Amino acid sequence: MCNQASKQFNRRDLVKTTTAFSMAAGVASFMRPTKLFAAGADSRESHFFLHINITDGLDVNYLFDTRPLDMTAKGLITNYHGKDPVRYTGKNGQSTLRTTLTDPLMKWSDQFSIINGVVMSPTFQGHDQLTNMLLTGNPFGGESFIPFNNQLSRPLDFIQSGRIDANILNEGGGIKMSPAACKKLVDRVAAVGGNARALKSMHRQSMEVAKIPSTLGNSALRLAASSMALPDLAGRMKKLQITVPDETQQGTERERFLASTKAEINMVTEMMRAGITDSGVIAFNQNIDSHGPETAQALPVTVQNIVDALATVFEHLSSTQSPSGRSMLDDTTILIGSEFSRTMRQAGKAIDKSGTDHNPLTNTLIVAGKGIKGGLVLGQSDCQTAEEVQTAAHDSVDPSRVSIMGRPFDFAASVPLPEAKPSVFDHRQYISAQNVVNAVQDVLDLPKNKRFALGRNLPVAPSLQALLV
Amino acid sequence: MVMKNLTRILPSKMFLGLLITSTLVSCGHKRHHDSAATPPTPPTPIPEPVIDGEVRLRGYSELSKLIERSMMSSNDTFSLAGYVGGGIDEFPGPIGLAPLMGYYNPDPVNPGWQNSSANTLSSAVYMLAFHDFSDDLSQTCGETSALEVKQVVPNERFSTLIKAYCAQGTSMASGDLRELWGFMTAHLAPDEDYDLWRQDLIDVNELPVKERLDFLVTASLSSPWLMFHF
Repeated sequence: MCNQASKQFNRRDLVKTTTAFSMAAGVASFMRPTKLFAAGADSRESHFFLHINITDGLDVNYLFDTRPLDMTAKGLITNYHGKDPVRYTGKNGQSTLRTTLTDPLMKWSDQFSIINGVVMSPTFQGHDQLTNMLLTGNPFGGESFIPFNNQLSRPLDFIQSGRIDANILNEGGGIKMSPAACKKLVDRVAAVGGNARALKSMHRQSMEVAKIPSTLGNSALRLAASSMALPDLAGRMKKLQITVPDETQQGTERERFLASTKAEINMVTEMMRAGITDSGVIAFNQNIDSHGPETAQALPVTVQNIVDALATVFEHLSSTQSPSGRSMLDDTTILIGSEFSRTMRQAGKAIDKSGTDHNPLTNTLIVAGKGIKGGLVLGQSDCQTAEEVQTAAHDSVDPSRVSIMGRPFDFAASVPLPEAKPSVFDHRQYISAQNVVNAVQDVLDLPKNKRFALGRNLPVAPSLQALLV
Repeated sequence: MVMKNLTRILPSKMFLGLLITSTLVSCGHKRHHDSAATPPTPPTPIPEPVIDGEVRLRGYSELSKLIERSMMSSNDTFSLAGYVGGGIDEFPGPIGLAPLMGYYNPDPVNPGWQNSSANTLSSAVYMLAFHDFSDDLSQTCGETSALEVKQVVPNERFSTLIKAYCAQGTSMASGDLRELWGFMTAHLAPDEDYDLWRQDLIDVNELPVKERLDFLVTASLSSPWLMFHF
């Protein structure tokens, strides 16, 4: 019987089947936001994704890839923090120097892993290009890996707060808005969800067009499904608790940033918990593009604010319950990063009056949460000491020697190769953003054909297996 | 089990995938139970139903132009986005809700209609816009609007037809009702859709004017013939 039905299956039957099922299931239960890969009919295996994008190029020297102060004293690298870093050793025995600015994050150090020495690109240096690289694997942009327009999220692919400058072609299933705007939208959608007559007509018209085997028919089918699911969406939106920072309240820039972050992560998790989306993006738009000395000198304060905001995110996730009963931190895979790091200094300027420029040769990415092995330090960058001699490979892409660069990495043993002295730059020998993102894609179980390549005419970047649980 | 799964998902590629998977699973179960009696046979290949493309939503910018050309006075600039505004669509252009609603990207590298497969939230936002548009339009019939300022300036003929509809519902002259349908669908819907549209309107004839108008606007503008660029 099954085979018979299969043989006779055609698109008209599908339309009929869809109609029949939607009628049988009723408006409210049709298309509940259950993942396609849910284990059982009534279980919902929560798995969310959160990306925090620190826009404009963060100097990772102020985070988890710091240099000793004697290098500043020797005029090699700016450091306006003025405090000696502390050594941090991960569970895997690898270590790095971190600034005390990162102290507020150490409470969750078992939850996240640090990837240092990430080579973003040997050639491209622009903000948009490297943001594109991080999100799409291509400096000119393309489809983002963030689960836009695939089965991971329903009915909304993602929600984003803040600005990210990137050329992303598949973001139409999501929304970008502040908590204030989201609250207004939620309130209005909750109110409009009851227009059952109009929805019925919308569904009827769409199903008529859906009978036409065409791309328009396909879209009409989707529109019909959307109209059926709208009351359910409105019902869930009614229950959301979107908080909005009091804009009239006086406060320092730091206080406003932290209050804003708290509202943004709350917005994202509320939408996740209600089954409206499985993906969230929060952009930290702080003043960190430190070409000018004033901005560079303010970095210790700015980075402290960013770290505190990250701690706010971790705190919120760990204290908020996921639909699974675990915490949102347990059920969310998290990727934190900026598009690139900064040069050590600017040529011709005194070390205490120098800004820093774009450095795509190293970066630090932080990954955490569901499916990620926490507490690791992976990768390493060069120029660890004033005496270190840069490799010929480094010189080939940074002849002026103003930049720190990632070290070659042994992907099989998951250890950096400080003794390696390559004479020619080969991207495959270094950790790239693509290696990290592909690991995240593995965790999210995204389609294999979406994995990022190392570049044009280069193979798919192997995912950083050490990160995976 | 199959039923439960099917009622949970979008009827898109995913739907098809699961439909096939569910069918296969059901077949697999059956074969398993029968395995003692008959040896397993290789599954018959199922022809893959092809739904391999979609068209994009026009977006409220392009839809506004259609409405403007069809219904508004020649010197009126009409914007559905204006109704969505009010602090919701806080980023103008292709940054805020435009990717969700659909838009034309003139980018020299990737020009064309981008983003925006219809989804639940974009449908909701369109309904918000249609609702406020109808509220605005109701002032043409002398109704009180919740909006602070009347934005629409209907063209003369459309205004006459709307007033007739407000006063008489579908009892208005049949030729006029058909003409109103043309205006409301920007002359894009095929003729054979008219009878169903009219029947939908008959079903709401007893409602107050504002609710009828809300239905007229929402039901007409949410037609796939208007919503999608194809």
